[in-house]
Amino acid sequence: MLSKVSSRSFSSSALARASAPIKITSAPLAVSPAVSSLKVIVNGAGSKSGPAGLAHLTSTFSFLDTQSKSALRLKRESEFLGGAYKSYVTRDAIVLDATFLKEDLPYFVTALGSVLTESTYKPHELSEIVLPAVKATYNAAVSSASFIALEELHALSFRKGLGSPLYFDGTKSYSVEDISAFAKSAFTADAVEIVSSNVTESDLQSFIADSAFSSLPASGLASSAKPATFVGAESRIRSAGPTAAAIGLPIEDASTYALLSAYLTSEIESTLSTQISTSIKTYKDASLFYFVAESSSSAEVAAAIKKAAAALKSAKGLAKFAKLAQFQTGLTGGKDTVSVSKFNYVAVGDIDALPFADEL
Amino acid sequence: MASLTSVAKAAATITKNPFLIKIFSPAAKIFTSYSGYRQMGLKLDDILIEETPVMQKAISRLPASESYARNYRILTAHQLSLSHHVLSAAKSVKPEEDDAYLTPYILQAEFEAQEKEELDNAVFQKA
Repeated sequence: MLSKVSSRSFSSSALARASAPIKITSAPLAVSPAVSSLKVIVNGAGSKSGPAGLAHLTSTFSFLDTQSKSALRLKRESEFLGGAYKSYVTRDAIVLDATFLKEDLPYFVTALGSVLTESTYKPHELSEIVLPAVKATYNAAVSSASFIALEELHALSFRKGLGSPLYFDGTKSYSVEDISAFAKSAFTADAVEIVSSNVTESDLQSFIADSAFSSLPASGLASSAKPATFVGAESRIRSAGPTAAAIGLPIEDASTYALLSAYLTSEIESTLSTQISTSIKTYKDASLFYFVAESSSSAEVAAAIKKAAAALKSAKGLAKFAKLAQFQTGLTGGKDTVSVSKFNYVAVGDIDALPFADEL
Repeated sequence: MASLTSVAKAAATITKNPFLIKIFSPAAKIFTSYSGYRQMGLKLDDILIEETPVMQKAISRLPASESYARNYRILTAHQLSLSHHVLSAAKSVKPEEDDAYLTPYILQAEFEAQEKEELDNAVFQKA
């Protein structure tokens, strides 16, 4: 019944559809000439859009029952064909990723198309499959103190949108109707972008035209405005397990901060007991520079974060790290010196031993 | 036990044929009144055998309110059985209340079990 309603609303937008072809780009060959892959990126369906956690639930609902095929049949058939698929959520998008033998392109185009257009979102799938799966993903992620620190850093730096949690944490409860409404509003022709690898472009074009992709509704995807950013905030989360501390700030000049993260990588090295990670998270409408130190020893984390904060205040001679920065982030250029006076600071774990933001 | 899927198929055949309806409809009414489950406060779907994996799955998927009502009816029936009573005509389940609330869930669970069985025993043939 639900499916009839949705198919009707899709066909009503036939006129608008013609003007919005799906964007297709090709990526370099990844594995072998016999293997192709397709990545369907649904922009604007990531965890920065919609209520917290809904995007993660929606992404986990992909590749379950559709009107034409059950989840089990799709799984078994693609196993027979030697293909594999997965779906994951980022802050910007939901990504459907399929890898398969080159000759099975039509099968997987059809499968990916029906995931977007004719998923049935059954209530029992939510309780029997999706909720246990998202719970496992969430629990695995939050067992890492640096993941918690980075999530908190996003929350401090962007508050809403990009600051929303990446995964569904169980704080809210959603029904299948919420999920299907979110999917219906997010899965539109303007939002979908296909990245193919080792696929004949003309074949792909014609298969897409014949598949359910062509029945995706065109909808005015609201162009995202620059999100508001915040610096100078501090957050301390007491928890058991390893300790982590993170410094970060929303940035405009990505190239300079790429140099800075390369500089910090070589200045403060990971040891056997302390993991250092520093880089830039680049999103569609903002970027975040971060430095995270994690260790089972809170004293080592404190030492590393103090060193990083001191280095940030007056970093000089960055230009000589250009090669490393290009290797890490693919960015070139940037200024030779940078001075960061205000940043966001997160401490997670055994926080008693960690400094406060104003002591850094 | 015949699966509910085959029963549903037979029912579909009967309801399509006016002649069969004429035979089966009164017969079903007589059968239902003699079986007496409505006088025990039960619906037909309450007395289907439930000790099978398919039925357990179907029952677990019922909405909370349906599940509560089902348990309440079964408790009522137990109480009546214990006290050797049946409900009065006014209190027994009316034919229009005797809906197939569980049937769609059973059909779905049976379909899933059958599909899994088929796929588990699939033979790969190269075309």
